Amino acid sequence: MRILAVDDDEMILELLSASLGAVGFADLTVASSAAQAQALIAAARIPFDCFLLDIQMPEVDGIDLCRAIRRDPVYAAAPIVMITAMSQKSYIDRAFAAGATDYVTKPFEPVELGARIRLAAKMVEAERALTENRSAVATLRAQLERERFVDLNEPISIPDVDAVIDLQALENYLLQLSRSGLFATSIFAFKIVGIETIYAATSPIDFRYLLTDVAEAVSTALRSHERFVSYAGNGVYVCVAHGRGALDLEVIEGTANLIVEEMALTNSRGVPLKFRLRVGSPVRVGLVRAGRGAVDALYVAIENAEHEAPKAEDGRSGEHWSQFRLA
Amino acid sequence: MEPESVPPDARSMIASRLSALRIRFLDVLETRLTECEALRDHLDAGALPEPERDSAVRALCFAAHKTVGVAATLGFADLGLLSQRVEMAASDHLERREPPTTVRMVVALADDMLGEMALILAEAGR
Repeated sequence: MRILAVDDDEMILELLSASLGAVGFADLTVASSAAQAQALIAAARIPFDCFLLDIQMPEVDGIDLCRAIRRDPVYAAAPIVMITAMSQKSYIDRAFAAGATDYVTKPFEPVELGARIRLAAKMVEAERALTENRSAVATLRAQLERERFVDLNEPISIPDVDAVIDLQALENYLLQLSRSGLFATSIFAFKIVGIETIYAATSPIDFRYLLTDVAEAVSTALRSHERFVSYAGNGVYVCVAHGRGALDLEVIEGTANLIVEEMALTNSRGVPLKFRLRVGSPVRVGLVRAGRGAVDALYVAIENAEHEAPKAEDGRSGEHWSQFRLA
Repeated sequence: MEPESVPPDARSMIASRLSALRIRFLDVLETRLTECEALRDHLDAGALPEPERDSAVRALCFAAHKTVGVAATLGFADLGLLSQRVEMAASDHLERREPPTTVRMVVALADDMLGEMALILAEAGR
């Protein structure tokens, strides 16, 4: 444990060094003034773990120094033990108000001081364990990212986006719906143009974020309809929408692209992700598509989007979508 | 790994280190005794202007404060106690606390402290 002791009395510093060294706290740095202590703190490459501060020092006293140390976020939870000959309540109150953790009055008994520092050390250890846990969490996250590797063709789940459900759930939904009728139901799909290039250039986690953002854009573009959207893999979103009359897919496509454009998507390194969405021909379903037929329609729509969308950017990236702004 | 409890040899190690520090403290005490005697004599000499008087009391207070911090730990409990009385009286005087603590009271307590310092030094053969 790295301890910084501050006292204007050289004898006290020597006493602290002798006492703490004997009870196992040999990593002690000393300062004879608040200014010197602040310089040491500022220059420390490894932060101190604990502070022992004399209260009565010329110029900046220990209470002001304690307050200054506490202001540094690095030392927000560091043990600060005040050591002073003054045992008056006002000093104690001021010290604790300034953020002191403990208080020892001079003359101190070296073994007792050691016990107080050990108590402080336990606090540091607890804090360190917490930090290590945070580090373990970071490792787990990295592992999770590796595990969350997304296959381009995988129809992954996209949680927490309104009206976006798993592909399997959408199939089940259509099966259920087909029993009561699929009147005025349209099934169509969007495809992210150049998805292979984007996939190759982004991390799994960035790719997931991208898929989520696009799902949000597609769902929002369809918000005036009852709808469900699923990600079907390979940059394709399949949509089931209900509504009287034909859907104006050109408008929906434009709106989805406008939303994506306005999201100004970037990867985690801040590199812009520019792409377009293309909608495939819709499949209108009715009674003839009851049962598994409705599910088949889903895959027809996916194929339509796959085949009709250009494989890569086709020079239409300069299109303007502002006319499709939602009211 | 930090020690979970006081190492078995810690007390003897502390005693050994304190013994070395005690010698250093006696050196410091010699100088401090001389300085404090001069301050006491200055205060005892007669009527001083208030700033000069307060300055001398403050210096005496500071010397006593420094003595309080280490005396008892190094085995000089009586000196620690007497020094603490000087520090508190001097502080009360400087802060103008009620009931008033006069310079004469501070000087009287300082005499006790100085007597103890002289005794310690004499016993140490100094």
